[in-house]
Amino acid sequence: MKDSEIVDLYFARDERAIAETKNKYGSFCKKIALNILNNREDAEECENDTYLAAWNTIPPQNPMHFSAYLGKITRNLSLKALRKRTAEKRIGNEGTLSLEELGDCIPDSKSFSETTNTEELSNIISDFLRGLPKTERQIFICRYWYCDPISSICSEFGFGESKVKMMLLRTRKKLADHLTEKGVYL
Amino acid sequence: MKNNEKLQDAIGNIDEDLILEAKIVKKNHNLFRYVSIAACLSLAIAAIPIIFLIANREDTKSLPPDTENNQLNNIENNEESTVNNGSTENQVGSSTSSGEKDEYWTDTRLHNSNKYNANSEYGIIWPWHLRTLTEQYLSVTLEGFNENFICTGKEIGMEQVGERLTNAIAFGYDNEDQRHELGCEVYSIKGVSRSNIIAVKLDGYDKYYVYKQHGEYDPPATLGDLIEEIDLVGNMSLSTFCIDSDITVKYLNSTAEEQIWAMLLECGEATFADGYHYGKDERHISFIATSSVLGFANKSFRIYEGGFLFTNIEEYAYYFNIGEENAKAIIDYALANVSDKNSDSARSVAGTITEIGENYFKINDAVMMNNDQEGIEFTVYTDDIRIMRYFRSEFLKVGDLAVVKFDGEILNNGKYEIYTAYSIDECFIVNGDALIPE
Repeated sequence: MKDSEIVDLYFARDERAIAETKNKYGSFCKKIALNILNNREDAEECENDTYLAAWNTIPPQNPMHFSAYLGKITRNLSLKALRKRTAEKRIGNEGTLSLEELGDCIPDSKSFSETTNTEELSNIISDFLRGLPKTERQIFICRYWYCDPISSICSEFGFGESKVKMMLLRTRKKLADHLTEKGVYL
Repeated sequence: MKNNEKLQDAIGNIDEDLILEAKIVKKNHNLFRYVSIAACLSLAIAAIPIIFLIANREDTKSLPPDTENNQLNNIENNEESTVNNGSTENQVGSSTSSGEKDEYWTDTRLHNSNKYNANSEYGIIWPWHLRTLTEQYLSVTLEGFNENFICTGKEIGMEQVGERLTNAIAFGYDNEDQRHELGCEVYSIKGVSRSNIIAVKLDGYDKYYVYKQHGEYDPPATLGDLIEEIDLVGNMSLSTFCIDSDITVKYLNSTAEEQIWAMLLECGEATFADGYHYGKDERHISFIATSSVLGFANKSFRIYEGGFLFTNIEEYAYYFNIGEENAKAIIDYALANVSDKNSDSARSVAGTITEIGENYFKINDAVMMNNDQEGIEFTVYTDDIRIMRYFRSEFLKVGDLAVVKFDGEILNNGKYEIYTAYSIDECFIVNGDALIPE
């Protein structure tokens, strides 16, 4: 079923919407959750919560890119669950590893008094990513949006581990410089 | 909320088209800096590079008489062609004709009468039928390259094999200078963009072996280039190192090793520096660099406190200026994270050979113990040609001191049996340590 047809089911409040969503995007959402949480049960819980969130938000939301919309929900829910777990006990998985790596991107702009809000920050990061060469951008998003392990990025792109790690390192540095230039204060 | 988490959330809300685009990937196939590889390859005659040499012994071994050694069964069966006067043989491991002695070859150019002289370089050139497959088919020639690719003897898994490049002929020479050839398939190695390292699958066999060309002197511009071009992070371990002139080996656990790599990657822009760059008595750590995929062992990856990183993993001396601060940080971190455990799985037994049987030998390690009574007698099975040939050729005999390396466990059923030995070397004992002459 096309994405637009599935979204129409949500608008019609037809419960088949959830079944069709699960059928088409169940494994996509579960993979994102599993990357972050590294736990099958928790990942399934986030997957199911994603369908509920989609049901509760469509309408009025009318996502242009349905898969990305779902992925965002899953990602946010998974990160929330992960942070709750790690507050209690440190867990090493791709979610926490990629989080640690993002430490390199913290801008050096403590002199700015106003904190940049998340929406504005997202826009700045989107603009930054569009300015990158395509492969660099894809690898950055695979690592920090999808939280893919380095090994699967290597496999997906046909690169060695050294190359992927170096690309990520350079991009993180560039992002830090870019955020500093833009006066971002976290 | 922590800053990292803010960033993580902000990244989560980037434009959706970017999220979707990330998963539309066209694999990067051409990792090679080849000019071109033609399907038709020339068969260049090349001198065999010396990898095994032998020292003459003072106690000249008597050559095996015309006995059953001359009728040794062929080790492997495979179709191959022998380039000589036109006759062909169908079996690998040409048996010598009746009446000839089964002997190992002596290279008098590196004559050394003292077999225990640790300053000499020596090994053995075995008769054709006592060589392993990769010792037999040592070389591959590819069009566009001046030098042959030489087998490192190392095997790599299928998961590391990249795209197929071409077919070729692998070849080697026996002790009578007769050329033997075998068809093969040539592949790239994943993650390695250097064109002087390839994976080869010999016809009739399932395994992939690393062949390497020495390569011209062409140092990378930066440390990052070196790391990236041969995927050092994926192919080389930094788990063992020595400090200054102390030869005691120290170990890092996997977390510390990851951190060291992260610190080295931060030095990716460090430029290549011509000449020598270290001071006398300058503090340094030397990582012991070994890589099956890249075909080197026990090379040096050394960091000097003054700010230079030295390595000879590509046979040439490379120095990179990583800066004093970075060098000190890496050295200090390594020293602060020494692990007690040796994660190296290579195991060995050293001692005196006490008995030699049809498919086994016994070795007693009493000579390694303070008390002779503590010695254990191990039974080592000689299924592997790399072990068996030492006894078939009588290179090793009862009373000799030897070191045996093996994988896996010793069967402790009262007999202390080892089934997985893959290497044996004569040795001598110094201060309770078994040392192998290099």
